[in-house]
Amino acid sequence: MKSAANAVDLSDNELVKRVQGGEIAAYNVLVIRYQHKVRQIALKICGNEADSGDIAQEAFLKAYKALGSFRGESAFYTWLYRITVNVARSYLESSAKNRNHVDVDGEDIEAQDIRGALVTGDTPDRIIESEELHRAIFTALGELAPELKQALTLREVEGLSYEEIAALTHVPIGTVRSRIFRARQYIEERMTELEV
Amino acid sequence: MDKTQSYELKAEQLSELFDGQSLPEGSLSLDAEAQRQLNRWSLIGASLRGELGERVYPDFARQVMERINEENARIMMTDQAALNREEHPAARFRLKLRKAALYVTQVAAAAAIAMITVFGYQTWNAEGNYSLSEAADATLGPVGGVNLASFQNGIEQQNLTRYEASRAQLEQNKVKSPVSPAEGQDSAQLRQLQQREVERINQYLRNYVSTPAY
Repeated sequence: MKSAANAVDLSDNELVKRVQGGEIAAYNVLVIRYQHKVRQIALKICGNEADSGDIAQEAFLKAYKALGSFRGESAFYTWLYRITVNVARSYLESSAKNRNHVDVDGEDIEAQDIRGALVTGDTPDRIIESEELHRAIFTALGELAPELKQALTLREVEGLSYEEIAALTHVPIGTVRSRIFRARQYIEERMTELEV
Repeated sequence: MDKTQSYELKAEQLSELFDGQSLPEGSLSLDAEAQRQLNRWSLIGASLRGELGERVYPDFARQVMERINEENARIMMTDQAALNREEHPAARFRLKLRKAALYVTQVAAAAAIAMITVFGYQTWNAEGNYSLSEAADATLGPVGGVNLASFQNGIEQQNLTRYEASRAQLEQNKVKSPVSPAEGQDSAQLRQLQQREVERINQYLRNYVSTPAY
């Protein structure tokens, strides 16, 4: 039986091969899949919400540039995790140096807010309070039919593969696939009220 | 299968792709709606696992991909420039050929100008002795092998004098050399014909000279 972790790793490696073959859309899937994890790692290292976004962006960009040398000896996420940690450390070092040499006449002064925190030029278009989103998602999850809620939880929280969920719930894989999709679709509809 | 069913099937496959359970055959392409959908599902999963920070940036993935596309475009342009400059032998050969062609064209143009100058200078010198009226006469051209315009210049008169002298010499030679009666008759007829022809030409020339062409 194919475990969820293995399935995702295999899928990641397949996506990496496609990126190496020139399919940028495959990298888009990887970015979407790991964006929250990478931001969390960056946030834990730098302790700053705004900087963690820059670090995460830089890490994904660096990983993309280095993807040609990735041979799949480790899992893609493990490799990406190492890159993120290195980028975050470099970022902290350069920030410490910059804090000691602030040129008040330079152009960079405009990129700092009144508390001296760095403000990036490309501020995200939309920012949503996590608490609000979290509440909306859990409310929608509670409204789901039990079998849909179970399938989605087993997949997203427990990390089981479709095969494992099918074996556990005694339904065909096709049904598992359909239940997970319908659960996502329902929650997604509730999320659109928050303009996500 | 109607449009809605088709869309749902596509979205279900996208959900499967997101979970790493399958990858579509052929090249992968994500339109804006598919990207938004994957992004929302990613948020659902992260929220259920407690991976979200205090704030959520729904445009993060899009911004990353925009930076990657910009980077790709920049790299592609740099690579292309390097390829044209250093690595592509055909492009290098074409550049050399273009330079050589330009050089040859410049040399040919210079040679043509030099030739025209020399030829023009020689022509100018050659015609330098003629007056304006002579130049106009030269356009009249020869009639019956004789340049009619030369009569107005007196040049043909010299030729006629030379012709008369040579004819007299011929007559003398004929008297000296014995001929048969038949030959004598033929040559007499021939001389008469020649004489008539010369007279006809002279008459023509006299008339021509008395009415000069302007």
